[in-house]
Amino acid sequence: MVRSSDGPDDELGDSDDEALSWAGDEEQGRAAPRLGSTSDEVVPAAEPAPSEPPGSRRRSVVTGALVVPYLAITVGWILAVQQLSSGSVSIFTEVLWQFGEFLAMLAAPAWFAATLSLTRDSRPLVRLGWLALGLAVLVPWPVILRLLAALQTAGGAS
Amino acid sequence: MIVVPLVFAVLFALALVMPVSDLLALPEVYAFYGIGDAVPWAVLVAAIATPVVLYVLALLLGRGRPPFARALVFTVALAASFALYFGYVALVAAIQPPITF
Repeated sequence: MVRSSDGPDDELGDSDDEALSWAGDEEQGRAAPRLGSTSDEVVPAAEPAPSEPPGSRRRSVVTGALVVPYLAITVGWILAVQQLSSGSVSIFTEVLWQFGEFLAMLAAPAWFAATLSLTRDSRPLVRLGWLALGLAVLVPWPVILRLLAALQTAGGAS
Repeated sequence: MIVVPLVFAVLFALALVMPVSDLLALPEVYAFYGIGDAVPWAVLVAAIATPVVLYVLALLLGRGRPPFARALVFTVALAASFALYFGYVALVAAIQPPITF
Protein backbone atom coordinates (compact mmCIF):
# COMPACT_ATOMS: atom_id res chain seq x y z
CA MET A 1 0.00 0.00 0.00
CA VAL A 2 2.85 2.32 0.88
CA ARG A 3 5.51 1.05 -1.45
CA SER A 4 5.29 -0.81 -4.64
CA SER A 5 7.04 -4.12 -4.74
CA ASP A 6 9.76 -4.54 -7.36
CA GLY A 7 10.18 -8.28 -7.17
CA PRO A 8 9.36 -11.42 -5.27
CA ASP A 9 12.29 -10.85 -2.81
CA ASP A 10 10.75 -7.67 -1.54
CA GLU A 11 7.33 -9.11 -1.02
CA LEU A 12 7.93 -10.32 2.51
CA GLY A 13 9.55 -7.06 3.59
CA ASP A 14 6.87 -4.98 2.00
CA SER A 15 4.10 -6.94 3.64
CA ASP A 16 5.81 -6.34 7.02
CA ASP A 17 6.06 -2.63 6.28
CA GLU A 18 2.44 -2.50 5.26
CA ALA A 19 1.42 -4.16 8.46
CA LEU A 20 3.26 -1.41 10.36
CA SER A 21 1.92 1.50 8.30
CA TRP A 22 -1.37 3.23 8.04
CA ALA A 23 -3.01 4.73 5.03
CA GLY A 24 -2.23 8.42 4.84
CA ASP A 25 1.12 8.18 6.60
CA GLU A 26 2.95 9.43 3.52
CA GLU A 27 0.85 12.58 3.44
CA GLN A 28 1.78 13.18 7.06
CA GLY A 29 5.50 12.72 6.33
CA ARG A 30 5.73 9.26 7.81
CA ALA A 31 7.38 7.21 5.13
CA ALA A 32 8.92 4.70 7.52
CA PRO A 33 6.96 2.04 9.35
CA ARG A 34 5.65 3.13 12.73
CA LEU A 35 7.31 0.20 14.45
CA GLY A 36 10.49 -1.63 13.64
CA SER A 37 12.84 1.31 13.72
CA THR A 38 16.03 0.54 11.86
CA SER A 39 18.18 3.03 13.69
CA ASP A 40 20.59 1.68 16.31
CA GLU A 41 20.35 4.79 18.40
CA VAL A 42 20.78 4.14 22.06
CA VAL A 43 18.42 6.19 24.08
CA PRO A 44 20.33 7.59 27.02
CA ALA A 45 19.04 6.33 30.32
CA ALA A 46 17.45 8.84 32.58
CA GLU A 47 19.65 10.28 35.30
CA PRO A 48 19.50 7.99 38.31
CA ALA A 49 17.78 9.56 41.24
CA PRO A 50 20.17 10.39 44.06
CA SER A 51 20.02 7.51 46.52
CA GLU A 52 21.22 9.56 49.49
CA PRO A 53 19.09 12.29 50.96
CA PRO A 54 20.63 15.74 51.18
CA GLY A 55 22.82 16.22 54.23
CA SER A 56 23.59 12.54 54.62
CA ARG A 57 27.23 13.05 53.69
CA ARG A 58 27.65 15.64 56.42
CA ARG A 59 25.92 13.30 58.83
CA SER A 60 28.28 10.49 57.91
CA VAL A 61 31.28 12.73 58.52
CA VAL A 62 29.91 13.73 61.93
CA THR A 63 29.26 10.12 62.84
CA GLY A 64 32.66 8.95 61.66
CA ALA A 65 34.47 11.67 63.58
CA LEU A 66 32.84 10.60 66.84
CA VAL A 67 33.56 6.89 66.52
CA VAL A 68 37.04 7.27 68.04
CA PRO A 69 35.94 9.17 71.18
CA TYR A 70 33.20 6.63 71.77
CA LEU A 71 35.69 3.79 71.39
CA ALA A 72 37.98 5.55 73.87
CA ILE A 73 35.13 5.88 76.36
CA THR A 74 34.28 2.21 75.97
CA VAL A 75 37.89 1.24 76.64
CA GLY A 76 37.88 3.64 79.59
CA TRP A 77 34.88 1.90 81.13
CA ILE A 78 36.41 -1.53 80.54
CA LEU A 79 39.45 -0.34 82.49
CA ALA A 80 37.25 1.31 85.11
CA VAL A 81 35.33 -1.81 86.01
CA GLN A 82 38.63 -3.61 86.67
CA GLN A 83 39.34 -1.10 89.44
CA LEU A 84 35.90 -1.05 91.03
CA SER A 85 34.73 -3.45 93.69
CA SER A 86 31.44 -3.65 95.53
CA GLY A 87 33.11 -4.52 98.82
CA SER A 88 29.98 -6.38 99.80
CA VAL A 89 29.56 -9.93 101.01
CA SER A 90 25.92 -10.03 99.94
CA ILE A 91 25.43 -12.14 96.84
CA PHE A 92 22.53 -9.93 95.72
CA THR A 93 24.63 -6.78 95.88
CA GLU A 94 27.51 -8.52 94.13
CA VAL A 95 25.28 -9.71 91.27
CA LEU A 96 23.75 -6.25 90.98
CA TRP A 97 27.22 -4.70 90.95
CA GLN A 98 28.37 -7.06 88.17
CA PHE A 99 25.24 -6.30 86.18
CA GLY A 100 25.90 -2.59 86.60
CA GLU A 101 29.50 -2.99 85.47
CA PHE A 102 28.36 -4.87 82.39
CA LEU A 103 25.91 -2.12 81.54
CA ALA A 104 28.50 0.59 82.21
CA MET A 105 30.81 -1.04 79.66
CA LEU A 106 27.91 -1.25 77.24
CA ALA A 107 26.73 2.31 77.81
CA ALA A 108 28.86 4.10 75.21
CA PRO A 109 28.27 1.69 72.29
CA ALA A 110 24.58 1.51 73.20
CA TRP A 111 24.28 5.31 73.25
CA PHE A 112 26.08 5.53 69.90
CA ALA A 113 23.93 2.85 68.27
CA ALA A 114 20.71 4.27 69.69
CA THR A 115 21.58 7.76 68.46
CA LEU A 116 22.33 6.44 64.99
CA SER A 117 19.13 4.44 64.95
CA LEU A 118 16.80 7.07 66.35
CA THR A 119 18.16 10.12 64.52
CA ARG A 120 18.11 8.52 61.07
CA ASP A 121 15.68 11.09 59.75
CA SER A 122 16.91 14.00 61.81
CA ARG A 123 19.17 16.88 60.87
CA PRO A 124 22.95 16.34 61.27
CA LEU A 125 23.05 18.89 64.08
CA VAL A 126 20.52 16.90 66.10
CA ARG A 127 22.60 13.75 65.76
CA LEU A 128 25.76 15.66 66.66
CA GLY A 129 24.04 17.07 69.72
CA TRP A 130 22.96 13.67 71.02
CA LEU A 131 26.38 12.16 70.35
CA ALA A 132 28.11 15.06 72.11
CA LEU A 133 25.75 14.69 75.07
CA GLY A 134 26.66 11.02 75.27
CA LEU A 135 30.35 11.89 75.39
CA ALA A 136 29.70 14.33 78.23
CA VAL A 137 27.52 11.96 80.27
CA LEU A 138 29.56 8.79 79.87
CA VAL A 139 32.99 10.09 80.84
CA PRO A 140 34.75 7.20 82.66
CA TRP A 141 35.32 9.12 85.88
CA PRO A 142 36.78 6.18 87.85
CA VAL A 143 39.70 5.97 85.42
CA ILE A 144 40.16 9.72 85.16
CA LEU A 145 40.05 10.25 88.93
CA ARG A 146 42.52 7.40 89.44
CA LEU A 147 44.78 8.93 86.82
CA LEU A 148 44.59 12.34 88.47
CA ALA A 149 45.35 10.82 91.87
CA ALA A 150 48.34 8.97 90.42
CA LEU A 151 49.61 12.16 88.80
CA GLN A 152 49.18 14.04 92.08
CA THR A 153 51.06 11.34 93.96
CA ALA A 154 53.82 11.36 91.35
CA GLY A 155 53.99 15.16 91.52
CA GLY A 156 54.16 15.09 95.32
CA ALA A 157 56.89 12.44 95.33
CA SER A 158 59.15 14.32 92.89
CA MET B 1 2.30 -0.61 75.38
CA ILE B 2 2.86 -0.50 79.11
CA VAL B 3 5.05 -3.62 79.26
CA VAL B 4 8.33 -1.96 78.29
CA PRO B 5 8.07 0.89 80.85
CA LEU B 6 7.03 -1.60 83.53
CA VAL B 7 9.94 -3.97 82.90
CA PHE B 8 12.38 -1.09 82.93
CA ALA B 9 10.77 0.35 86.06
CA VAL B 10 11.83 -2.85 87.84
CA LEU B 11 15.35 -2.60 86.41
CA PHE B 12 15.64 1.05 87.39
CA ALA B 13 14.42 0.11 90.87
CA LEU B 14 17.33 -2.34 91.04
CA ALA B 15 19.62 0.50 89.97
CA LEU B 16 18.33 2.40 93.04
CA VAL B 17 19.27 -0.33 95.51
CA MET B 18 22.96 0.53 95.75
CA PRO B 19 22.57 4.33 96.00
CA VAL B 20 19.92 3.95 98.73
CA SER B 21 22.12 1.47 100.54
CA ASP B 22 25.00 3.95 100.32
CA LEU B 23 22.85 6.76 101.68
CA LEU B 24 21.87 4.65 104.66
CA ALA B 25 25.25 3.12 105.42
CA LEU B 26 27.86 5.72 104.50
CA PRO B 27 27.03 8.33 107.20
CA GLU B 28 27.37 5.65 109.87
CA VAL B 29 30.68 4.49 108.46
CA TYR B 30 31.98 8.05 108.28
CA ALA B 31 30.80 8.70 111.84
CA PHE B 32 32.52 5.53 113.03
CA TYR B 33 35.83 6.70 111.56
CA GLY B 34 35.43 10.19 112.98
CA ILE B 35 34.82 11.96 109.68
CA GLY B 36 31.07 12.35 110.08
CA ASP B 37 31.25 15.99 109.01
CA ALA B 38 32.62 15.01 105.61
CA VAL B 39 29.67 12.94 104.42
CA PRO B 40 29.20 13.82 100.73
CA TRP B 41 25.46 14.39 100.96
CA ALA B 42 25.18 16.05 97.56
CA VAL B 43 26.78 13.09 95.81
CA LEU B 44 24.66 10.60 97.73
CA VAL B 45 21.46 12.42 96.85
CA ALA B 46 22.56 12.82 93.21
CA ALA B 47 23.22 9.08 93.06
CA ILE B 48 19.62 8.43 94.10
CA ALA B 49 18.14 11.10 91.85
CA THR B 50 20.01 9.99 88.72
CA PRO B 51 18.09 6.74 87.99
CA VAL B 52 14.77 8.46 88.68
CA VAL B 53 15.56 11.38 86.39
CA LEU B 54 16.89 9.11 83.64
CA TYR B 55 13.83 6.87 83.84
CA VAL B 56 11.51 9.85 83.42
CA LEU B 57 13.61 11.21 80.54
CA ALA B 58 13.59 7.82 78.80
CA LEU B 59 9.84 7.58 79.32
CA LEU B 60 9.35 10.98 77.69
CA LEU B 61 11.82 10.38 74.86
CA GLY B 62 10.34 6.99 74.02
CA ARG B 63 6.76 8.20 73.95
CA GLY B 64 5.07 7.50 70.62
CA ARG B 65 7.90 5.27 69.40
CA PRO B 66 7.61 1.55 68.59
CA PRO B 67 8.35 -0.88 71.45
CA PHE B 68 11.86 -1.75 70.23
CA ALA B 69 12.88 1.90 70.07
CA ARG B 70 11.40 2.49 73.53
CA ALA B 71 13.35 -0.48 74.91
CA LEU B 72 16.50 0.86 73.27
CA VAL B 73 16.05 4.27 74.87
CA PHE B 74 15.40 2.68 78.28
CA THR B 75 18.45 0.42 77.93
CA VAL B 76 20.70 3.36 77.17
CA ALA B 77 19.26 5.30 80.09
CA LEU B 78 19.76 2.35 82.44
CA ALA B 79 23.34 1.85 81.26
CA ALA B 80 24.04 5.57 81.67
CA SER B 81 22.51 5.41 85.14
CA PHE B 82 24.90 2.66 86.24
CA ALA B 83 27.86 4.42 84.61
CA LEU B 84 27.04 7.62 86.46
CA TYR B 85 26.65 5.69 89.72
CA PHE B 86 30.15 4.26 89.35
CA GLY B 87 31.35 7.78 88.67
CA TYR B 88 29.78 8.90 91.97
CA VAL B 89 31.41 5.99 93.78
CA ALA B 90 34.80 6.98 92.39
CA LEU B 91 34.16 10.62 93.32
CA VAL B 92 33.23 9.72 96.90
CA ALA B 93 36.40 7.68 97.22
CA ALA B 94 38.46 10.52 95.77
CA ILE B 95 37.14 13.23 98.08
CA GLN B 96 37.07 11.11 101.21
CA PRO B 97 39.28 12.68 103.87
CA PRO B 98 42.11 10.55 105.26
CA ILE B 99 41.06 8.35 108.17
CA THR B 100 43.11 8.82 111.34
CA PHE B 101 42.85 6.73 114.47
